Amino acid sequence: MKRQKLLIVISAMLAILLLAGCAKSANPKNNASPSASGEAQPSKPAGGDTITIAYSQGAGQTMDPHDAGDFTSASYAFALYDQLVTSGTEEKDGKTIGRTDLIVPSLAESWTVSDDLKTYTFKLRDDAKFQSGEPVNADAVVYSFERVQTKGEGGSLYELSGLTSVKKIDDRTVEFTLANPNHLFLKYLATFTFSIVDPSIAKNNPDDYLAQHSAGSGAFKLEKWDPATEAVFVANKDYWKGVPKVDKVIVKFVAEASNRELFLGKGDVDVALDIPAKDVESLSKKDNLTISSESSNRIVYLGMNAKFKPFDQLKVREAINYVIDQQKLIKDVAYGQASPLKSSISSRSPAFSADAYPYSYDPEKAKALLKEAGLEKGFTFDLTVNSSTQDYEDIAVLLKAELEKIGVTMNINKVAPAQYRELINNKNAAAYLGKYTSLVNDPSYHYGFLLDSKGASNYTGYSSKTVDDLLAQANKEPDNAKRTDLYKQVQAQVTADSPWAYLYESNLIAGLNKDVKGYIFYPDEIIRFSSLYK
Amino acid sequence: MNKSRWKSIREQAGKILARKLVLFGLILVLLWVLLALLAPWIAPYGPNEIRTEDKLQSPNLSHWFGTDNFGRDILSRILYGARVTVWTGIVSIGIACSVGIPLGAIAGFFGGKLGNVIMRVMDTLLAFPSLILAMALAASIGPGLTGALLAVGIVAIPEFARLMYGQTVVIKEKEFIEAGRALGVRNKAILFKHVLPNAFAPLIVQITLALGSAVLTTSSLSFIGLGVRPPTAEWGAMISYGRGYIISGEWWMTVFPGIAIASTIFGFILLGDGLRDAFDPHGRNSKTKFK
Repeated sequence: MKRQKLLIVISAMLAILLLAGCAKSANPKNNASPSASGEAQPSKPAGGDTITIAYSQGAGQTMDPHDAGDFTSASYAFALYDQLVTSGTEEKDGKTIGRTDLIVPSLAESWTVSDDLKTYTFKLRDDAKFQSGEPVNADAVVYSFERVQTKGEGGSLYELSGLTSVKKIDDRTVEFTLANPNHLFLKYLATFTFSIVDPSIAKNNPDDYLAQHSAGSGAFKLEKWDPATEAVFVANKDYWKGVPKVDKVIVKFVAEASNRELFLGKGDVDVALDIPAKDVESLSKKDNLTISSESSNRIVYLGMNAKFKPFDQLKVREAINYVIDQQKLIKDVAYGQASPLKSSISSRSPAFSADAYPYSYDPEKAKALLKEAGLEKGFTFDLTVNSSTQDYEDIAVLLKAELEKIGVTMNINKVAPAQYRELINNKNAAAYLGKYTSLVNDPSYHYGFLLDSKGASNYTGYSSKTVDDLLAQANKEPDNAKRTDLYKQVQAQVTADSPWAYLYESNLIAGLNKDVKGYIFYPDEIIRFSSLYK
Repeated sequence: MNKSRWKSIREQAGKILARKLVLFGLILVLLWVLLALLAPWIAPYGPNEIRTEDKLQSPNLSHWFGTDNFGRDILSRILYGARVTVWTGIVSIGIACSVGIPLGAIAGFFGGKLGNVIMRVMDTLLAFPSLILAMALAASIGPGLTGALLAVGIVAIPEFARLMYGQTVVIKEKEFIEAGRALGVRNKAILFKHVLPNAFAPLIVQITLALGSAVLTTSSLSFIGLGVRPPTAEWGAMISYGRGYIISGEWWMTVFPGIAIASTIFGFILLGDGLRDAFDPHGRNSKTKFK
């Protein structure tokens, strides 16, 4: 009977394990330990002059600013490189907040614009130096703009900017010529894509050298990078804007949100990005933490592709809009860390207007609309949801319950990120949950990607001649007030056509240890290291 | 003869059930099957009934196992989840048996090149870690219960094929088979009437144990998002869903489905072990007795 005894012992051990499990979770502050998964583990507690940041979306795809497309790589580009101009900041309620729509000088100390708005002449600073010691001069600018065009990500923005030529006038002066006036040109120049790289390094190495190395004039140098887990940056002691206040910034990739919280709580990391909204309240109460939850440009919407029946009928798309209870979503999914979305563009964007938004939560009206569309008995459709963020599954579950009330069956098709991108990029999703953060906070950029019939991110295949014409007209319109008016018309038209059901604008939430200072929130989701210190 | 056979089965069953742990395992398994069957009548709430005003309640009188972040009753979801588990168990092991057993029997009985090819294919399948193979299969079939069912079933095929192959090779050399052959009994009849019934006991054991691992594989697939579609109540999916809430103290979202999975598998293993001991008089247990 030895075996039976053994079994009894094993079952007793199982029971103890279960109990231990309960105790652990009931008391997470003291007992819980980071999981032993393949994610990065903070190797040592952060020192006084080192800041460790836990990222949620990978440790970056490239160090090349001209080829960066993801938010992680973008933040590296801002750390390693400077641009001609950059985003400003403003003081609001005692906090410093980044303003991507406010352009201030950086490598260029001043600029002039010609009367036809097609020629920009930049005067470069004479004290700016690359980390190699070479001066940042006109040749470097011209070289960088040549290089941007050869890269995938940078090339598309270059095309969007409408640049036709970049010419060296003298060592400190560069002239940019545009095909047409573009009111966004300066904002484009402030993006990480138009970083100025050091030609003395870039030219003398293979073309993909910059994907793994840095050659900038920025506040930090790259010390070490493992794309799967972490990147280490050290301060550039000769930085022309002044030496950064920290010696070292370590970026760790921690995929699991609860692990980021644990690391933050224990002080293993100083900053944790993408804290789940549900934990904001409890974490804010902790003495050693500051939680920054700021409204951003990020919009969350449900896209409906008119190519798929029955979304070809406007009444059906309207009906879906009428079963969306934005307040409920904000309360139960975003735990209050979001605000209602009343247009196809973020309320932080210039020219935003909620005037044309006619919807409210009204299932009866939705039912009536479905009846008018000849779908009294309801219909069935698949909603494609990215598995990367829990919030989207939560939205889908709530929506499914609402749609059942009007007789519509929605199947939740939760897929891995790569599969999701493939489905929506090929416009093969009848309906999907999408989010979008415009890097350049302007309707021209936003609509150019999302709702222009040729837009690269127009996943619903929305195509309206009226909207296309208005957008083209607005792009050429130099007068701000007239342009705002045009964009209001665009918003009204899009809302009337309802290719999307608006869900909410989500906050961006970061957790910081109390001793970390100088965190500046930028609405484009990209964190800048240079202002951080302890 | 029939009567005496019945008697021997009853005696056997009596012997098996006399072991307390086996009885315990059987009760656990039957309990879950019963709960699964009765779920619509005994579950206090609907599995997908959203009441956000009751969200994240700890276990209390009206919600014995607490509620999740939508106010869905965890107890009801576990009961409905048992239906998914029982269903996947039956279907996937059904697939595995109906493919694996004939393949193993054919390979063992006829041998030769055909048998070699079949068994090498099975060896190849066995060489993969079963969860990795199941993940690859489920991912290529697409998300949803069907994909998971097929994946779990296919992964279990080689075990049945190997077992049946081994049994067939042994049985076909026995004298009564030779006697049958000498009398001119056809291959088909030998296979179905003589080989299969004699391999029955180890197959039953294997089925019981495989059911346990099928439950685990299905839950694992759901945990990593390759199983059921949300919001279907399924144990692995519930744990996956609740894991973000462990840190904020809502342990009941993961612990109760975890207990459900553990107890079901435990039940199957106890039962399977007990059956093996009973069916196989030369097994480990009897050996230790003689020592």
